[in-house]
Amino acid sequence: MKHVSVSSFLQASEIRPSTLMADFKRLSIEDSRTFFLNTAKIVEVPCPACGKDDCDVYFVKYDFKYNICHNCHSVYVSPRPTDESLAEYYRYSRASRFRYENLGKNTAYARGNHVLRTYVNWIGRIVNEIQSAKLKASYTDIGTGLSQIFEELDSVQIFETLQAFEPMISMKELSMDVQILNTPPRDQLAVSSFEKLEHQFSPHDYLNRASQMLSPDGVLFVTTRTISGFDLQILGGNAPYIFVPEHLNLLSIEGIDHLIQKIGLTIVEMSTPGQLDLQFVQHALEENSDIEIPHFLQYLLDHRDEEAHADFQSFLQKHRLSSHLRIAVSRKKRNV
Amino acid sequence: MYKPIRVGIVGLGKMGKTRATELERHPNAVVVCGADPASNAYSDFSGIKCFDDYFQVIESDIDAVFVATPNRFTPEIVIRSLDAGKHVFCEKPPGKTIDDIKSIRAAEERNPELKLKFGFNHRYHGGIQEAYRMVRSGRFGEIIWLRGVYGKSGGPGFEEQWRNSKDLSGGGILLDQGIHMVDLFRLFCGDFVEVKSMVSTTYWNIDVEDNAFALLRDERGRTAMLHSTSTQWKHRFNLEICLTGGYISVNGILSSTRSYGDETVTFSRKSFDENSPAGKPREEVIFFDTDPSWEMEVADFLRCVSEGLPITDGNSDQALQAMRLVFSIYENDLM
Repeated sequence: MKHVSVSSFLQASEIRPSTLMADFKRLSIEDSRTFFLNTAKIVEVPCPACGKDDCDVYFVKYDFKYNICHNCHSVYVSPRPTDESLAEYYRYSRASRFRYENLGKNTAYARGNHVLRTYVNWIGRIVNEIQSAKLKASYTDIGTGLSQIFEELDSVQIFETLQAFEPMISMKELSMDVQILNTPPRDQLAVSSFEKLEHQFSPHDYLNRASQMLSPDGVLFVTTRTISGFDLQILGGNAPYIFVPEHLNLLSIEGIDHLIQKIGLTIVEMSTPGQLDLQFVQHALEENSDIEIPHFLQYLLDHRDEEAHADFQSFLQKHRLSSHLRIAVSRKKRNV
Repeated sequence: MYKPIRVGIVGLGKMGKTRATELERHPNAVVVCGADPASNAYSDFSGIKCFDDYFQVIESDIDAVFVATPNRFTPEIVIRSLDAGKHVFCEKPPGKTIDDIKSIRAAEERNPELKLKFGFNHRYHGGIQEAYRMVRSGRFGEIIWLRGVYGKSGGPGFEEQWRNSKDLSGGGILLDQGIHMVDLFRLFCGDFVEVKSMVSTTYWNIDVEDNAFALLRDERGRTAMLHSTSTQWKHRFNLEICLTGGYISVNGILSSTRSYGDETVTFSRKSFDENSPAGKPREEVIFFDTDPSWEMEVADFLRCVSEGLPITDGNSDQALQAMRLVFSIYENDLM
């Protein structure tokens, strides 16, 4: 297997402007109380990664319990909103609208420049690997939240057909032809799901459905947050932007590995190319001075410069210790 | 399922063992015999018949011969194996001289139904394959230049190794290790028509070179710069590819001791974006956790034998052209 690190000089403030994020968080918390208040809409679940029901409460946040699995160390919300109530939330909540209309639009340039361009490099590289001849193939993004992914893909001409399955945003402003799908497609060479796994009631069912869209040699590209990453390990429940229903699943690297195998998929690449773990810790401390962190880390933040911080972040990436996880999985057995 | 390919190995040293390990893991191959003049090598091959004379291997009921001997013995064994109707996998380099590989090719031509492959295993390294796919995708533009450094440190007993005896090897570090980089240059750019070089024996007390520097140019004016050395006190492998639209750099090569460091591919698209600091573009690095090169190379050979496919990587023409370039570097030494 292989993994990847990225350095694009991304600043947390570019994709998480503090005022907008504070508004988004406030709306999310208020809406989650409205949408999920009725206990009939929340249910107990075992670990969504390994399926074991052996856990402790890791932290409680805004009335929701985050458990830690003793088997795979994934962290997950239980009881959690049902699939139906989540669908209702994402369709009608103020927070959901705010995410795409305000937050998404105001951070579009930075996300396009720093995040989506690396996703396109990633997809292009792996598609080259599985497709020896230059056959034009089909690509589908699930639940599209950032339409620029299509513009970036279009600029490098990897796919003949670009499709959005159940997009979360309007695609009208796009200059190229993107087909909007309401039923799951089949025989896709590439399917992507960016920052969606953490919202799902059942990551197993979600990945399973996504993988069924693939052609026999197709690849599914997924990004999500992992509890194995540095900022979440350090901050736990103090991580300011971890809340329901944005983060129902903070699966560990080991948990994801288990889940992928259980579904019968093969990991082509698993990386944590996050650039912001240290910045997230720093910002959490700025917002809440009561948070306690290890002395060494405090010393690193206070007494070492940006160069040292960048080196530290590179170390996290290299050893799969950042909380931004990206995985490419295939239905096919692979050699490398 | 094909009938298993029966294999004999001539030369039961380090490379012979490496190949045997991969052959044993392969479902379509069985190692049945081996030969080495040193009987103490047999202990690692307890499950097979071992001989002190390679003739006995060639005369055995086998389909293919793996040749892992010092360069002086390579041509004769390869030629006799081919003429005895055996497919051949042979370690690089293909002999001591250009005439050696020409003789081998003549035997190959006499036996067109047989497969002959040389062990240019670097072509199968994850980093090289990734870089090759990136170049071929066209997304980084056209190659402008290549720069390759391949160096090892030698060490205790280095001067006594057969590789450093001109009589046995025909050449030094360039022919032994640098030929991999030469082969990779050819993989990316094809043939080179102009060569300038400096070749020297500067540190080790040996009768072959311990350093070779070369500048190569192809017909399109693209330049490749090579440094092959056995005085690189920290092992190093680095192949940089500069393209019109970006760059790709393969660093390190996974080995059992990891002495060449992590195997990585660093790449970036050229950007003169005003938001990026000049000369410090966004970069991505791919880390390779495993080295499948030995497994893939052996599997490729066995597939070509089973299915009658042509050898595409490590064929005799590529071996000949790599040898021509190596000897051109020797002959064009400015010193």
